[in-house]
Amino acid sequence: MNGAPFTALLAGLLLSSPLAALGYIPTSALAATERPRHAWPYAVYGACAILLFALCAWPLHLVLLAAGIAWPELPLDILALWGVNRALRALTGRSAVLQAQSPFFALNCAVLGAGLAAVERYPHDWYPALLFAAGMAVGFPAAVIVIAHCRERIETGRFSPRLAGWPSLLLLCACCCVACQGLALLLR
Amino acid sequence: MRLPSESKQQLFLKSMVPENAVLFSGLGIMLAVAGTATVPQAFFLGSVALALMLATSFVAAVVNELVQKRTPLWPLVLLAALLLALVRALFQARINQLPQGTAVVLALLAVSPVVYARALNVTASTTVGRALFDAAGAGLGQLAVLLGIGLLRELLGLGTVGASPAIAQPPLPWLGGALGGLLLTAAAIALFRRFKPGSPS
Repeated sequence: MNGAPFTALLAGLLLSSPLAALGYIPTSALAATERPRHAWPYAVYGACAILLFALCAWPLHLVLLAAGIAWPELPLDILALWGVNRALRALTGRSAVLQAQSPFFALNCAVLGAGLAAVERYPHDWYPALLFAAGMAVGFPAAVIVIAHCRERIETGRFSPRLAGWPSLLLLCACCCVACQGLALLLR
Repeated sequence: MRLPSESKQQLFLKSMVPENAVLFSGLGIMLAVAGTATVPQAFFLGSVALALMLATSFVAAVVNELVQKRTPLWPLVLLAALLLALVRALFQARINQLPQGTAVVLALLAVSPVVYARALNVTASTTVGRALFDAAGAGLGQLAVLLGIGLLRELLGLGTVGASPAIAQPPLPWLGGALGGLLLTAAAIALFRRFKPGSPS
């Protein structure tokens, strides 16, 4: 057995680095990480959404590829994302923590970004693409929880008001990005 | 906050500078981090975001004037996705020349909070003309910030400006990567707070 699936899973997991780097996680984490306790439902919801959306986006890409038409892929992906949102909303019921962060603008950005990254990286192989998405689905909540705990310490500590909020969160994500890139180099 | 007494010019300037979408509200952070590797990429993505903000604000304001109701989010998202599919079809050759990942970031504009913030919050209580001025100010302010960050990243990280060589040996090559986007965006927000009128010096 070759190591390609394992590599895909690890690449997806460490894509928490590009996810942080591309601004998906800073964007989606700000509202959700005010308190680590509140970050958990959001992180788990995000992981489920990433996995579910990837399960829809990849077959859709394959069908459109076979049909030879590429332009409707994004509008159809958006419809799939809407379906994922509806399905998860129905499953999670009326969670007060999740309702407070509705309508998930920023989380949808991370979910769509993760799905498109999986399709772009593995456009012809469904198995590694889904493992890659599974890795991202694990990496996303891990990054959100780490950011939530660090952010709590940053905001309760003595910090310059000019660096409070977004700048400190971005600096934290920069540190996460360097750490993930270093880890990826070690595993290469 | 938007007051009915504010003129279109005041709305435009307020959205562009003191309430900038990247530096003040943080809604355009994703674009500032991911879409500023080079000046052409920043210009392309910033221009598309501006066009989407104008289109969604226009539609939301027209719906508000006609039926006195807020436009639901998902139809606006679908409209943006259709416009982005059109942009991608028209500019595919140009996108291929831009840094890797531009196509993914372009697609992400369909769900980016910065595109819908004006359409969902401001246009629900104003006229079409005022909504367009407000969206234009927000879009142009964001474009200016993206170009500034893109210029620094490209010049210091790659040693070029708009793909033309400017410095033989770039002093900070890591600025061209993702780390540069995160750090420069953080620095831009901190600088904005330092020089914003009313901030303690």
